[in-house]
This record gives sequence, structure tokens and C-alpha cells, in this order.
Amino acid sequence: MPRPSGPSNARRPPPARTGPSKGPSKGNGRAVPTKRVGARTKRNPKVRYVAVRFLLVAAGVKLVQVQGFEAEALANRAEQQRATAMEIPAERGSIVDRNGVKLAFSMDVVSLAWRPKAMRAQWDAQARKSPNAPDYNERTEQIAGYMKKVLGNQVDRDEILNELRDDVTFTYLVHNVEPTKARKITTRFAEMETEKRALREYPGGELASNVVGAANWRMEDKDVRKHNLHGLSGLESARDNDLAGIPGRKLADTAEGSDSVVIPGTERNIQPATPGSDLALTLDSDMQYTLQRQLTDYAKQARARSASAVVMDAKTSEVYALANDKTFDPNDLETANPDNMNNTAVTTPYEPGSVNKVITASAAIEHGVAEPREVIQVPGSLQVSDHVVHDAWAHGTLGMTLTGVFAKSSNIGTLLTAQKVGEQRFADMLRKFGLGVRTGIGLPGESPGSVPPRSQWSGSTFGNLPIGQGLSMTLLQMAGMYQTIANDGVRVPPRLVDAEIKPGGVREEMPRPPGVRVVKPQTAKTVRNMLRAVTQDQPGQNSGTAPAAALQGYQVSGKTGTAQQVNPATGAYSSDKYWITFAGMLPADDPRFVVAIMLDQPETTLPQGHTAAPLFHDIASYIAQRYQIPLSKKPSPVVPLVVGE
Amino acid sequence: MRSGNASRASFVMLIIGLLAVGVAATLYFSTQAIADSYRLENATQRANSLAERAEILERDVMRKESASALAEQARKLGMVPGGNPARLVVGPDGKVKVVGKPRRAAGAPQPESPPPSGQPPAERQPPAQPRPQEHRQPADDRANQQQPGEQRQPADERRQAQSPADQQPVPRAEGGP
Repeated sequence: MPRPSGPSNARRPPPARTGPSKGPSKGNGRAVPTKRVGARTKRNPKVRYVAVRFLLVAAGVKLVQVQGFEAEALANRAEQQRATAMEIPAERGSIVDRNGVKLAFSMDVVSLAWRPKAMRAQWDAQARKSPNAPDYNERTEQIAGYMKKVLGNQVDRDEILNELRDDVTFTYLVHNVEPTKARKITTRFAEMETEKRALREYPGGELASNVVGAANWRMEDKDVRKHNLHGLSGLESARDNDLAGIPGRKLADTAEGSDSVVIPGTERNIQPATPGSDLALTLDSDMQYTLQRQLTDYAKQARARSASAVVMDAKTSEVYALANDKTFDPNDLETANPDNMNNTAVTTPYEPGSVNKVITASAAIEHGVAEPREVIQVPGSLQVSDHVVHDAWAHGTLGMTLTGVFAKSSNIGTLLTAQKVGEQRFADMLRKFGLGVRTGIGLPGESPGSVPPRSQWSGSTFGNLPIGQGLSMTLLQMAGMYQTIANDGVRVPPRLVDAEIKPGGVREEMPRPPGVRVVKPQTAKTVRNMLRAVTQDQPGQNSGTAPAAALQGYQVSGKTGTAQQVNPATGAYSSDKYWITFAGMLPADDPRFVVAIMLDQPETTLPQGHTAAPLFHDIASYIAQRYQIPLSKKPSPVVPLVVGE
Repeated sequence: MRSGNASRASFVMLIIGLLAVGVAATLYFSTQAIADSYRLENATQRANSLAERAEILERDVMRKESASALAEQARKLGMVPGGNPARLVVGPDGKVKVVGKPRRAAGAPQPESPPPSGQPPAERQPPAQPRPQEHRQPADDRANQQQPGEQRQPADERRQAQSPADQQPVPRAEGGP
């Protein structure tokens, strides 16, 4: 019977209508004439006959009316009265790394709650009635004791007791209880209120939390049934729609007056919930862990205000690791603050300094204005517009090869080369390398950096940009420049989410952004080879700026950078606050990985604060081991950098 | 008339009998069905609680196998990152060339447990000699280098270390659990 109570309820009215005869009949119609009223009806059988007939006909008519004409409406009303629509929460998808290691997943948990005022009234009333019954204080003591026994360290007995005895109508006692334990407690104390929730687990803690972000239980919606996990930061927030899934709906019969007391066995689905998709990232959690640790240690040693680093695949731009020195544990959001939740690697641009000279180098080679071995006479200072540029070390006029200009990071040599390239061609090159435009990696709050538009260049602008001052970029953009050089001149925007795994297990690859040709393959190769000399360690003036970045057995190519920061007080470049940067690739003869590092305001008097080259070395060394990169066939050739004074 | 009554009586008896059997059968089956529904309920509950248990165990495993937890465990065992390895390159002629200089791994010492009574280092070969260090635990190296005999890990390792054979400068091919 699909609608048991509708008709049976509806049948009740006819007897009610015949109310007057109900009293005397007392249930058995046949007995009527023989008993009390019998005397009258016996006297007049005809009346009896007509009365009975009339009643039968009336009942029949009502029956037809109720069952035939009103059946549907009544059944609907009954259904409405007892059935309650409920939302079935959709399970939130997991986030996994490139090897399937889970970085975030959800668990069912229960929150236990209590109604102190109502329970106190009820139990104290019971205690007054029967002197043997325990009063409220005794009972709450029992509850707190039992909860401590079941939940162990998760709760504090005295705190629970305080909550239980609080003078409020409703209070949560404890969140995130395992369902099994919650059942144990509610079996013993049926008065305990429970609320099903989900808890987001981050097994790695701080591991990749800047990328993965955090999700927590949200209760903004007035409808309790719509409460669910939602992302706060990182991919949890940016991809919330994919991860959250679609809640389903079900109907259940509930007790009168309370929608939460479900009559067992009456639940029926209308629409099942669709769980959220899993996200497979390009991160490698081991690489990520190591990078985070190395970067944090190094930033501490260099006493940097902040630091970021990224490891990217040279060909596909898949991000293997993206780290900031400060990060938070998403399992414990109380320790999180806007400072450590800020993913500075994508949100905060900086001036790159000499790392940006790679653009000047690429433009010079691409347009054929210079060759690596060509000797440039570099004076000790250079007047550009209204200011005088010096090199990092004092020197008279030096004969430097083009390779030497970049390997030794000569500002003057670079500017002379840039002047040969010309402003327009240089500006085009900046644009092609993707500066001033967001990479579209899909993390929230990405900054596009800033490059002054060509129309707003002043006389000194072209004395700044080629040496990496006067423009800003994010760490990802900086890595992207070196990825272009590593990938034979094709810039591929970075990727972080590799695939979405749909609820059925279908893996949907995320579209790969198309590559952009920036320079000719030969140009990229030449620049790559030139920048190997940065790590060259030779006597005399033939050492590059970063011999410490060299990795034995491998050819390494990269570039150091030191950029002055603007002092907010004076509005001019500060003389003691710097961004120290490094970007490079490994191995230079067949690039597999690109590494970019930025240290913000390290103490430049410290050896670690002076350059990020040793950190690059450590990261490269780990990469070579982890991905079993074959040794380079031969070491980087020694090239002349300074050929005469 | 009599036989008619008799046959009618037996017919009635038959019907009553059938009815009785029917009622009994209905009772029996409905009782069974209810009993089964209880069993089903129990089984469902058990399945649910087992699924919950599996979920919790899975979580514990994932927590323990995360990179951070593994690193922490390794640190507690006194292990340190390997640093720059030397590499053996086998040429086409079969000759082996060592690229890089093998060095003992160094790192911040992390002996949290009190050092056991001084015991001799397990081996003392010169570091320049190429050795299969990839197969050895970095902890071993560091312990030898910085705090001889301090906080050595597993018991069987220690037993080996105490055996006289191990005192010789012979590179051990493998160590650790």
C-alpha cells in the first residue's frame, strides 16, 4: 500500500458523522436492536430498516467520495504532513599529487551538542519527584567522565563539564568526533544531540598548503542542511565548484513537530548526491617537501623577510614544487594568519634584478646584434639619461666577451648591448616573455606584475629595464623566462592541475596551454650555453657570479640577480634592502628542470644573504638524485669572460 | 444426507486445516522476515562501522606516510639528508670513473634519546675510497663522523657493529632495517 494513512485517516469521518448512533451501538451494530435502544426500534422495525439503510448508503457515498474523488488530494496532504525533503551532502573530492599521494581528503565526523537549560529542567524535575534519581550535577559528571573515557585527549573533562552546566539553551561540546565514538556516547546518553559534518584532512600538514589551501566547515547558510565544507584559500577555494560536488535530495518521513527525527525505513531517494571530482596536481610531494625545507632553512640563515622558490618541468612547465618560506598548517587554522596564508610566489611581484638580463641576452642574439665571443669595451661607468650606472664591482674600461658581460653580470655591458638592440625590439621581447601578464596558473590572487608601457617610458627607463629594475614580476613569470630558454624558445604557461578525476573514475586531463614561440631554437641554445659561464670558477677575472650554483657532473645554466628595493620613506632605491634572486636550469645540455628562487630583504652581509646560488645548488642536487638525471656528457667548457683591461 | 454431512464436515475440516496451516505459515514467514530485517540492520550497522574504521585507519596510514611525517621519523632515527653524492660512471670500455667526491652526509645532529654506552664505530674506511654509499644509511655515516657510537639505531645493527668482523675497514653493502 503506497499511501496507508491517507485513506485510513479519511475513512474516519463517516463514523464521526454518525456520531449519535455510535454511543449506543458500542461497536457491534448487530447488537444494537437487542439492547437499550432495542425497545424503540423493535416497536418500529421500519424505522430501524430505514435508518440502517440510510447509514449504509451514507457511508458508501462518503467512501466513494473519499476514495474516488478526494483520494489524491488527501494522500498528498498526508505526504506533505509527514515527509521532509532533505539534502544529501556530496562528498568533497580529494587533492592528490602527481604520484597519487593524497594532499587533502574528507572524513565523516560528528559534532556533539547539548541543550543545558532544557536538560537541567527535565532532570532536576525528575530528581525532585523521586529522591533516588541523580540530579543534574551528578548526571553531567557522569557524561563528562564517559566522554573523557571515550574521546581521550580530544577533550578536557572540566571544559566539557562547564559546557554541560552552562546557562545557555544550546552549546557544542566537541567537534570532529569519529562516528564510532560518537555512537558509543549517544547510545549511553540518548539526550546528546549529534550533527553530521565532514572534516578536511591534510595528512602532510604544512606540505604544499600554499598551493592546496584549506577548506573548513561553513555554517553561513541558515538552512542547517546546506552546511558543508568549502575552500578558504589556494586550490580548495579556486576549484571549490569542482571539488564540492552536487548535493542530492531525499525524502523521509519525520516525527510530528521535528524534522530531524526520521522514522526508520522511510527514507527514499529522489536524486543521489554527485561526489566532487578529485584533483590530480602536477606537484611531487617529496620534491615539494624538500623544497619547502631547503627554502625555509636557507631563508632563516639569510635572515630574509620572506622567500619563495619554484621547480618546474623545462618542457611542459608542470610545477613540481612551489614553496614559500612561511606557510600554515591547514589542519590547525588557528595558527593561520593573512601573512602565512599569502602565497607570495604568485601574489607578490618583485623587481628581478640581473635575472632579467636574460631578455637582453636573448634579444641581442635573436636580432644578431652581438655574439657570445664578441668583445665589448665596458667602461667603469655609463651615463644614461639623468643618472650614472655602475657595475657591482669597480673597474676601469674592461674588454669583456658578451658571455662575460652576463656571466659577471655587468650592468654597463648589458646596457650597451641593449642599446644596440633598441627600445622597440627590447619592449617586444619583454612582452613575448610573458611579463606584465598573469600566467593563468589557476591559483587565487595571482599578480600580473608590472611592466611600464612603451608609451610611458622616460629617458631612464631604458637604463633600468635591461638590468631588471623598474619592472616587477612574480616568481612564476621569472621561472617562465628561463623555461623559455630551456625549452628551445617556446614559452609554455605553468600548470598546476594535471587532471580532474570525475566521480566515476574517469580522468579528464586539463587542457594544456599552447606554447608561445619567443625566440628561435638556436637563440635559446646560444643563451643557454652563454649562461653556463655564470657558474664558471676560474682564476683571475674569469669566474662567473655564481660558482656556488655549479653541480658536479652536470652542466648548469642560470643567472643571479640583486635588485634594490624602493625605500617607502624616501621613494628612492634603498641601499641596504634587496631582492636576491636566482633562476636556472638543469642540466644545461638537455634541460629537464627550471628552478627559480627569490629572497626578500636578506641580510646581504651574510654569505647566504648575498646570493641564492648555494640554495640553487642544493635544490639541483636533490632534483638530480630524485629524478635520476643522467650526468652531462662533458663538463661545461671554460670560456673567456674578461679578455683585457 | 448423513454422508453429505460427513463429506461437508471433512471439507470444512480441510478448509480449516488449510487456513490454520496458512496462518501458521504466514506467521512463521513474517517472523522470519522481521528477524532477517534485524539481522540486516545489524549487518548494515557493522558494515558501516567497519567502513568508518577503514576510513580512520586509512587516514592514519596517510598521515604516517606523508613526506613530512616520514622526514620527522627519519630525523628521530638520526638520519640526515644525503647531500651531494658521488656518482660512478661506467664507460663503454667497462672502466669506472668516479664523478664527484664522496663525502659523509652531514647535518644538524638530532640525537634526542640519550646516547647508549660508547661503542666503537662500525667501520672506519677512508672516505676517499669509492664505496656503495647509495645503499647505506646516511645516519650511519653521520653517527660515525660526529658522535661515534651515539644514538645508533636498530638493535640488529648494533649487534652487527659489536661483532669483531665489523671492525675491519670493509664497506658493508647494506645496513639498517
